[in-house]
Amino acid sequence: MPKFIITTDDGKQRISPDDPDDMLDFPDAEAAIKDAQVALAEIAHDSMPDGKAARFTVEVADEAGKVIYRATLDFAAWSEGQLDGKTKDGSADVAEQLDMGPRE
Amino acid sequence: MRRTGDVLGPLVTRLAAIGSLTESDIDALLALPYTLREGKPGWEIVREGDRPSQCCLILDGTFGRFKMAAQGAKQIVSYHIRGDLPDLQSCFLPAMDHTLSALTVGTVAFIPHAAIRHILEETPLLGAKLLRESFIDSSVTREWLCNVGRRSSESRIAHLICEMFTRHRAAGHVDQFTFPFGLTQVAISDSQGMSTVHVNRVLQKLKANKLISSHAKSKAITILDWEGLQAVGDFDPRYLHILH
Repeated sequence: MPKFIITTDDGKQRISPDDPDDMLDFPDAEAAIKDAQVALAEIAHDSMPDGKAARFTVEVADEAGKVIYRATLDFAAWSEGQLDGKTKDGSADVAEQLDMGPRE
Repeated sequence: MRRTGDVLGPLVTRLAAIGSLTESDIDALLALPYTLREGKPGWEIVREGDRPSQCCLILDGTFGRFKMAAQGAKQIVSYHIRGDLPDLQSCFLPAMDHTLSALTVGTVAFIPHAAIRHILEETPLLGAKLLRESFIDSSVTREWLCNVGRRSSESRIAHLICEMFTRHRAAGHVDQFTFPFGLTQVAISDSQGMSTVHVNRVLQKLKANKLISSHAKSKAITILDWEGLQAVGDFDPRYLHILH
């Protein structure tokens, strides 16, 4: 089975395999990507509830290290006093809260 | 004490770890009839729906009991190592409600139900000691339910490593803090209800935090910080009911 190098980041700790033993076998890239997507949601679940903003990232690379897939999941929360005007719909300010500037 | 070279010795070691055995108990256990079989990972010893006429005693390797959910999703509900009798229940519940398969290369001894029933009927005190193994199996299932339902991913995996270490230690199968760990990350994800990528992340985290080190070639894990790993895993060995 092909091997994949999968990097995950919960905003606090980025984990990237530096030991070849930590590479993962999957039948194909599609299976690796599917599993990585599930992992993204699980990693977010582990870190909740914690703070007002977080970005979770997963990256799938092939055995040679070429990145073939990247996904991010953003979490943003507003408490009572902040629920005015432009942030009320909850869609505008994820990037601001993450202090990353405008999103692509 | 058990005689070295006795094929069924691991059963004696297991039952002696969870209860006291008399000399005649040991003689009766070692005299049980058996058939040996070896298998590779994926070997299904008994399948859901089967009506077996024998129980299996694990002599070597790691085995798992599992159930299949819709769309082929597998849930491993327990792991079994040397000395375990994972399907003792089949003496009482004729149809298997799960499948038992090898997760590593392994060896089992098949013991006919008739021989087990003979012990239960003729020597009920020893029979009760055998059943103790089955009750502990239920206790482990309760702990696993708690893991899957309420413990964080990091805690679950740390807990699993603590459990496997404690069980291997009772089976006399450890070298200080190093013990056989042939489970693949897929097998761990199937038991913990987690994606393989997430299992991979947590294992790397445990290594980065200097709680464990793993040795892929020898398929073993060394626990570097036993106290620390137990704390992360929220692990209290009481549910294993190991006496020493």
